[in-house]
Amino acid sequence: MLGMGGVWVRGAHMRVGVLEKRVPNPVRRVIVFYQWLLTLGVTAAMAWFSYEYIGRVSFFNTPGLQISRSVPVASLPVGFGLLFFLVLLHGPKAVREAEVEDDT
Amino acid sequence: MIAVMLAVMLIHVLIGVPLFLSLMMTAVVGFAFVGFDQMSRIMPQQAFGGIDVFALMAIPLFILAGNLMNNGNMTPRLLGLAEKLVGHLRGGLGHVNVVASVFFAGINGSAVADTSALGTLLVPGMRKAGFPGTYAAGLTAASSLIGPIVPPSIFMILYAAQTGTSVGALFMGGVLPGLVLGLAFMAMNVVYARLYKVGKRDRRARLGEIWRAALSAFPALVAPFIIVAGIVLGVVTPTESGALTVAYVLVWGIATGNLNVAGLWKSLTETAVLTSAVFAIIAISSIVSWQLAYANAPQAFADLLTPLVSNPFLTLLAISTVTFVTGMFMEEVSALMLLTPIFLPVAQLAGVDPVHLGIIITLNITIALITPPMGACIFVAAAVGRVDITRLFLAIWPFILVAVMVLAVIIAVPSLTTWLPSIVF
Repeated sequence: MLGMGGVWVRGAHMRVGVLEKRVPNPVRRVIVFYQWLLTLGVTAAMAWFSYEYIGRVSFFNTPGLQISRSVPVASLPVGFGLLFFLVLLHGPKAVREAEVEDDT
Repeated sequence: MIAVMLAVMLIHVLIGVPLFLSLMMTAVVGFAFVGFDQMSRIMPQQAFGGIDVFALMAIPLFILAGNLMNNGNMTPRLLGLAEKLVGHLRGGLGHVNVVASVFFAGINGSAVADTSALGTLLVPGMRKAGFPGTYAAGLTAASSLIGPIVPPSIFMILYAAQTGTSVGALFMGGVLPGLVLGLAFMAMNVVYARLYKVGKRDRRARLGEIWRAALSAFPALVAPFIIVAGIVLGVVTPTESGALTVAYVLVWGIATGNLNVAGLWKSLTETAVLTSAVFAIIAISSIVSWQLAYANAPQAFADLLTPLVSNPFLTLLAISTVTFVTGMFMEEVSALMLLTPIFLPVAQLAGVDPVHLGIIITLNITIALITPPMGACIFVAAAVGRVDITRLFLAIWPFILVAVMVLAVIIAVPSLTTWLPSIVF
């Protein structure tokens, strides 16, 4: 979960960009802006929810290492938080795509 | 509720929102029915619960083992052996493509990695030999389907984690179907080689040449035995087997000088990227799965299929049809995570062996990797083979048909999947 932001920057999250590439530019800009806004909204909410969740599980220990369960659970708020900041920093840009050449 | 969630999911997927975010949006809408007051509690709980599974730790390890082999110069050795074995046949490079996929399947459970590695090396050569680019890319994508069927398999580990089925039994159950799939694609290649008037090499490789190629590829050929034998003999768990394979490849790569620091770094970053992408989907699809269970969707689906449960063949046919159509429009890991809990009770009612069901779901989900419009392998094959994606969308259907025919054979003949596990376990 910690790497979600890095994966987003590389454009490596699984997605289908076929429709996005075939619509007129103004529509495309609206779609890209919506994607950006949506990503910011849901990642911020998830980061906050999982931050609260850490407090609820801090009394439990992991079976193996006997450390507080909040340590592994922290991967959620940290991962979503990093994703939120990276998306915010990059602004509403189209998610990077792999280069494809025509068959000849 | 389910229809609304499906509509939200489809709209977001179609406008290019990353799949884990599309799933998250679906989950948010789902809470409109479940109750928003539960959202802040259930979302992190289910997301973490979805990835807090010991068996899933095997996934990054098998991905890393495959990447280390790719970056440690093992793939060309496997290709060399395949070329010596079947390169002399008509349309030889097509056969090499399939046989190399069978070898590659034994070290990497990811079809996408297989398409990417073999496509880069083989598509240009197949073009030169006289195959159209779309056919070469299509065969590369299609033959990579063998990857998740022959052990190790990421999809099988996910299925096992959800159903409690033995990973070892699933791995053994996948061997024969994987080989049948390979033979089917080779038979298809014979027909197409004649159709495209692709010639054959002058001579068959000598025994000495095959021996030398086998010796060169030996380190890569040992890996599948480490994986399978360790699990089957009960010496290691699938996760430990993944770690053992990584250690073996790492030691071999460094000792022989085939793996340098740059290759190691590339393998680690590629593994981190793919693992993060897959685990994000697993985590979020767990929330949607919880909502579907909350809405009694598995029970509703079981009720719908109740008239069929007296006939396991019809039940599996219905399950396959639903999985095939779902797989066309949904990312494979999400589809597997969402559908397995729904199908398992139905299949159990029909008396279907969990291993047989696991292989059928895995093959179905794997076929989805080459079905338009969302098949990940087609996108990768188009990119590495430099062919137009729309033309590949059309050219891929004969391969899908062959894969579906193999699926039908596996449904009709359960012993193809249950015979090997019954001998070993």
